[in-house]
Amino acid sequence: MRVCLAALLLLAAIGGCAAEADDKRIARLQALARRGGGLIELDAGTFQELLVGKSRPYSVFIVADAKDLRSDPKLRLVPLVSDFKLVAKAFAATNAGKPAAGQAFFARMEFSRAQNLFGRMSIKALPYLARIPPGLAITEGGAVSVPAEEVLSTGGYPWGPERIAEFVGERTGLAVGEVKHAPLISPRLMPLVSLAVLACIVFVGYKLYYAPFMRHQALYAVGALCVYWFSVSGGMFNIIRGVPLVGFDHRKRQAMLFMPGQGQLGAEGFIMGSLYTTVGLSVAALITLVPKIKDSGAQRVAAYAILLVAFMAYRMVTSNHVWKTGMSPHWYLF
Amino acid sequence: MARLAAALAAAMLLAGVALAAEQQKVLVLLDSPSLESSHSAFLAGLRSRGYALEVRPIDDKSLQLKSWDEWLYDKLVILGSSKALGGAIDAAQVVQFVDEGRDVLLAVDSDVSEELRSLAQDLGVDIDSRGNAVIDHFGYDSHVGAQDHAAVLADNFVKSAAVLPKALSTPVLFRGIGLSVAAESETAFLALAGSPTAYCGKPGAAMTDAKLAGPELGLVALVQMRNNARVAVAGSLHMFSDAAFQAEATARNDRVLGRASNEAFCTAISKWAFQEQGVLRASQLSHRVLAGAHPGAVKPERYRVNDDVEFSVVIQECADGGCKPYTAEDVQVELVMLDPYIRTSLKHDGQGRFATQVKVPDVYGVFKWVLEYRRLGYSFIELTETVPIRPFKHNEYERFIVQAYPYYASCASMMAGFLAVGAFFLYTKA
Amino acid sequence: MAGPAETAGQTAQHKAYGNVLTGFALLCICVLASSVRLFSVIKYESVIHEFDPYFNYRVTRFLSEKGFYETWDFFDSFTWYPLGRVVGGTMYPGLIFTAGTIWNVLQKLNIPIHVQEVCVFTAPLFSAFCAIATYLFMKEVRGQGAGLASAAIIAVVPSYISRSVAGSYDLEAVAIFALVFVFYLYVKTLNTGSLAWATALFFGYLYMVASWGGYSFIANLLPIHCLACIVFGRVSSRLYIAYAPWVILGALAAANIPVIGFNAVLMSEHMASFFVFGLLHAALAIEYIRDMLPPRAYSAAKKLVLTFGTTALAVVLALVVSYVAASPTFGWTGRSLSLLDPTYASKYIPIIASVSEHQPPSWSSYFTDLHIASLLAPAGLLLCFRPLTDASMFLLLYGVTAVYFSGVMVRLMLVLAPAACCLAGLALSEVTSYLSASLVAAQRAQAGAGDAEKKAKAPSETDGSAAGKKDKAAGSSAAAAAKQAAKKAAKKGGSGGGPLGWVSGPWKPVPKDVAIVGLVLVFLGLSMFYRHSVYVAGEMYSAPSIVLQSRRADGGVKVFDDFREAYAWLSHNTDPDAKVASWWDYGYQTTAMANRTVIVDNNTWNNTHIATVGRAMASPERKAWQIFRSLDVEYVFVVFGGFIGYPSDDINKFLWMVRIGGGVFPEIKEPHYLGADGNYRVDEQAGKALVDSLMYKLSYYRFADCGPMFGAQRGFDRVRNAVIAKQDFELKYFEEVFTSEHWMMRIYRVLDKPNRDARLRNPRRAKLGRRAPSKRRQPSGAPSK
Repeated sequence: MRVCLAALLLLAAIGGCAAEADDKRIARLQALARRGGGLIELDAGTFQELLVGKSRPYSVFIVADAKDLRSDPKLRLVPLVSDFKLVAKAFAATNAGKPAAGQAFFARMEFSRAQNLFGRMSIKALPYLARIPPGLAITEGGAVSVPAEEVLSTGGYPWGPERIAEFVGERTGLAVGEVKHAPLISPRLMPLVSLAVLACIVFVGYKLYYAPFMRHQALYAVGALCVYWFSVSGGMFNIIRGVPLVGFDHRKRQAMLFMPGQGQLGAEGFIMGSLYTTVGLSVAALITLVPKIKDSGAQRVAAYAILLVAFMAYRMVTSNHVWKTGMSPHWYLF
Repeated sequence: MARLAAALAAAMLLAGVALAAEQQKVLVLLDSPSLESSHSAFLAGLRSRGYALEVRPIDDKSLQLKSWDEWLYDKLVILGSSKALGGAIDAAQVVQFVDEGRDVLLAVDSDVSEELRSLAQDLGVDIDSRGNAVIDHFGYDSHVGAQDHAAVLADNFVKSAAVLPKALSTPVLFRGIGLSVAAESETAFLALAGSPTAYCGKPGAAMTDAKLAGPELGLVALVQMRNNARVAVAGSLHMFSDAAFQAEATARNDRVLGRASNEAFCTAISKWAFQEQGVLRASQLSHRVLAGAHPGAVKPERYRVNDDVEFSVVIQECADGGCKPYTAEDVQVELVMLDPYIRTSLKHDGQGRFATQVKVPDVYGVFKWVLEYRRLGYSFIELTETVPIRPFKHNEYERFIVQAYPYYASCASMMAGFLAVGAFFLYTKA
Repeated sequence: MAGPAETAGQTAQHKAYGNVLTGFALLCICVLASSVRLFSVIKYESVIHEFDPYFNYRVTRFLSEKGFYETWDFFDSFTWYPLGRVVGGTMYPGLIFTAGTIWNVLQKLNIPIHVQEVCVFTAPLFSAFCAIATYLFMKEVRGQGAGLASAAIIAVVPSYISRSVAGSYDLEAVAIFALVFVFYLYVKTLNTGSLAWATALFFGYLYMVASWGGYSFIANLLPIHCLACIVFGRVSSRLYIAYAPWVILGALAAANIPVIGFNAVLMSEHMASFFVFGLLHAALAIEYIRDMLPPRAYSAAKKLVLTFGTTALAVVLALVVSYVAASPTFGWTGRSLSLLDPTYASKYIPIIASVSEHQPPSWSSYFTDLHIASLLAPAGLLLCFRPLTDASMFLLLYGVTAVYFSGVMVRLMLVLAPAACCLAGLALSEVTSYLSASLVAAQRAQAGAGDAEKKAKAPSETDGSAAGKKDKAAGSSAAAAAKQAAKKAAKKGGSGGGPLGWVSGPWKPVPKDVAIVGLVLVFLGLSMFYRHSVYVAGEMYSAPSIVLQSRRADGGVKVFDDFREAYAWLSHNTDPDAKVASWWDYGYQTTAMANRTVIVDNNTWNNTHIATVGRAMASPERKAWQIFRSLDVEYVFVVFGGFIGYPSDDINKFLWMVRIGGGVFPEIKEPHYLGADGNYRVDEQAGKALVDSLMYKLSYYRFADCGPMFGAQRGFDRVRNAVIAKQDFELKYFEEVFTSEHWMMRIYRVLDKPNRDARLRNPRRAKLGRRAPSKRRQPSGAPSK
């Protein structure tokens, strides 16, 4: 609290008469933040409103976000923003009604909307979370040079709400209060819930066990095929390596399904897996369905069709494989 | 193992020295021919100890220390000053001479040449800069050092029976330059240090602070290399001279202290430098299993955990051509795997056999016995012997455990019961 | 393969024909299986391959000298200095004892053969056995035809070849055979329900457990199958006889292998079997009660039991969960955990993640390693359902689980291979039998005679003698398949569609032309498969990574034999108990070939020790010197590829050393070893710590001076394709003693403490003037004139 007083004194020292103007501004911004669910969405207008000026009676925390990088599993942008929002909420909750509430604002800048801001703040890499100290002079359109110690170091990323709150606390000296994760169920209920779940499982299992459709072998056949398809298409590879479904060439022009060399892309894998399964399925069809066709003409057509499908799929698999691995097998006969 | 071999080899060499001292060839390099007459007593002393001396001027053009990679001499004595080493000898070769296990006695005086200073420095002794002399305005000898106080009476001897077997009653008359030894040096030490009032500086010139003074000021330094080669560096030629040998030590108030003990001291350090004193010889390293997998096995390939073993080694002290059993209470041996698991001190019977009995730890791994013995003035002993310790074999555990008898019983009863039920089931008409 | 129509004589004759053909085909398959694996011997020489085999080879040599008992209690003081390793208690003895037995037998027969040859040729031999085992397995599952087909496929399936070429003397060489054989015994027991086979199953499982850590796959697959049988009401005394003895005796067998010991009852991998064991008894009890009680009482009892059962189940689950949660790593070994949670290893265990064969496979590796098997397997999966027997259900479960696990770790492709081959063989035999049978049917139709059964048996002679070996398999399988087809027709084709309009009643052959085209396509596909497999066996999988080959411009072959050169140097020029330090990959080879003590080796049982070596390699020279001296290391060697462009050298493995070292010693931080741009590079932008590290110095010492030899820029690294950052430097604490012909192995001696304490810090030292120049002497040492 003493720190807050110190900050207040500082403000007074900065501009005595500007105080009431500041108060209006803060009120506006708080309204803005409330609308944004604790976060202020930065664009040209809000930037002007929030930041431009020789100094501000508050410090602003900015998290950088980019729409087209959210899919990147390593970057974890979505959880970062949500954590940031949690911290903002916690801050608002703890300092509600206190003067401290007006001394820190939480803002988010999204690349596609505030591209030039990224340039002005010279943000080269995400994740980026920084505080704009009150004393930092920001001119219109000028570069915003955030001192290094105001930028949360990317070491130990992902930070998690606690780390962010700690950062806020140590930079501003304002109490954030403990961040409330929304718990799924209170720990007191935990045993009951688990027992209930267990009971449900048992019940469902029992029902399933006696359900007639569970006796249908087709169900299991499909299941087995799905597992097979998933594995041979390198689904695990996609999960473990976190490869995107579709890759882009470096200029992000057009998507590419297949990538040369080692590794694979998600879609590529699934396509190939489907081809594998196609061959098998057509063979199975040749044995199981064709013998049952009464009319021999139709049977001939069906058989040829199936053979053709199988053959084409086989061709595609082999050619793709050669293209991928570049191995050119040759006979050892002569 | 390699170290052990080296140590034993060194010991053998020393034994050879002790037994066959007469064949030893010593090259004596003199700064000026006159020294041969002025230092005749010292040289005669060497001859009388059975060395074949070859006395040559230091700047002789034909000097040669080794020919066809054969060292021509076993020891080297340099009574040098300002002249450069002549012939084929240079500082580097003398250093090599030492590195290959031979001994050097180097004596210089105030106008020492840079070459000899660098040689001393390579050997681990720093000689003060040329022209300085050891001065003591309180402890000077009033006969020789009356006018410049640069001939001092030094009695700050090293406390080591290995260097000075019997204490010297009177001081040593010393006129020459000061030495110093690096504080953390493991090899070099001062055999004769300056008195608290002695310092090293320009004679006659007033000095407010001396870099080299008091007990840190060395007059004679001894160096024991890691390969047990020895080097003695004396800051004075004069102390080896006949005059010094004959001199009467007289303190500043003309109080006669009696015959200066230069002769005894110089003989002692030359003996030490030439491996005639303070030489320890370790041999017959052995260890055997007392109780365990193979009781009585001597130097077994490996122990089993918790074996009772005995470690023993014979250490002898060789001096003046003869070896007698070494007696000390502070010889320790360690059983090491990364860290020492056992560290114990060895008991000796009077015959020089040091032994101890230990129970090897309940840890398997490649252990090694380590015996490192370093005492001031004595040659180093470094012995290591590797002995792996293996765990129990599958059939070395006890077969039946008393605590487990209930379980055996339950198993047996269960089997019996099963048989009974089976028989009943099979052979009863339902 | 007799029909009721034949007389006994004909039946016997056909039986004889069929068996002779089968036996002959099987013989050919075995010969093919072991001969296709000899490429490595022909192209290179009879040498043990890459890393782990050298350990097995060394222990086998030890066995051949000291005998079985000594090996069982082998305490190896040559590895993991100074910790040592209880080899007997930490190895799977199956492979080694097998080879040892073979060697002993040969000695008894007065065939003086070196144990190395035995080790080299163990794998091909057992791949032949594996083919036979597969035949037996599939014969139990679905008749001779399927058996032959799958045997013919597994004989050359690349994924199995990769681990069983002559010289790759690794556990998998025998383990895969053991795996399939255990499955065969299980299915056999399941089909016959005889205790004799159950005993055989126990022994087979004992061998499997002794051979490979992969036994835990069986230990979980059998319970799954048993569970499935229970769920689908297939519980029978045969199942009980197959499963129950296996659980108990199998656990005992596992517990008797030192490396497993009490894990057989403690580790969660084994829990499933016991759980299902209990469940099986419960199911049997329920059946017994149902027979005993009147229906109403039974239904009442059922409700009662169900309520109690669920509660009991809940309790048991709670107990299991609590136990599992209490035990370290949840009672799972890291490797199995990384199966269940695929991202586990990559996150937590760098040592596991650092091994290339623990990476997940991409789609291409399936086709490379299984080729047509991976295409036909889905058909096999479907065909397992018609009809769904206990055996075919087992095959189904095996296939599904194996294919899932293979998706996690590429090494488990090896477990998948037999399953895929069996499924593919099943599909293959069915399709060929259907086509050829309908071909014959067409002929008979022209001849205007015969019924389905006659059609069925004819092909076994005609095709059998006509087409290639493959079609023998198919042909002789045609009979069985056709018979089943008839059977299916009798019971209206299990799952294949209800009685619709276009559906014909009985099994109907396809027209002749279709059959011919189909057979031709099948034949082509298979020949492609064989071409691919033989090519892969020859080109990809037969390189013994200890000797390298490269094609010269003129088409000749250049051999890089640096490794053996360096190891030979070590064994001839260093003290017999000198300690040699290197990265753990080369530990086994050093102990086996150079016969010197190593600090760490490929058996990565002590993370800290490996981390110490990694730390030394990553530290500056002086620090590393201290670490190595504290470990009594006398020689250090690094593998360096920059001279000839050998990519898998220590500089490229260096980041793993840093990670593993940093995992234990926090002062090692990976970012310091990366360039400014966060990439791992050795040129000007290289990280400072990298340039200072011992690994860099030992690798690039004197490298720049030899650069121009291949006409490139000075100090140009051919692997990294970059000019190295620091080119000229001296080593203070290490001394180069040997560098192999192509610089692939560089051996350094760790220097002793200096003999003299020269140049120590001494504040009282007076400055030294000009040092006298050293003199020039005549060769004799006399002063120069």
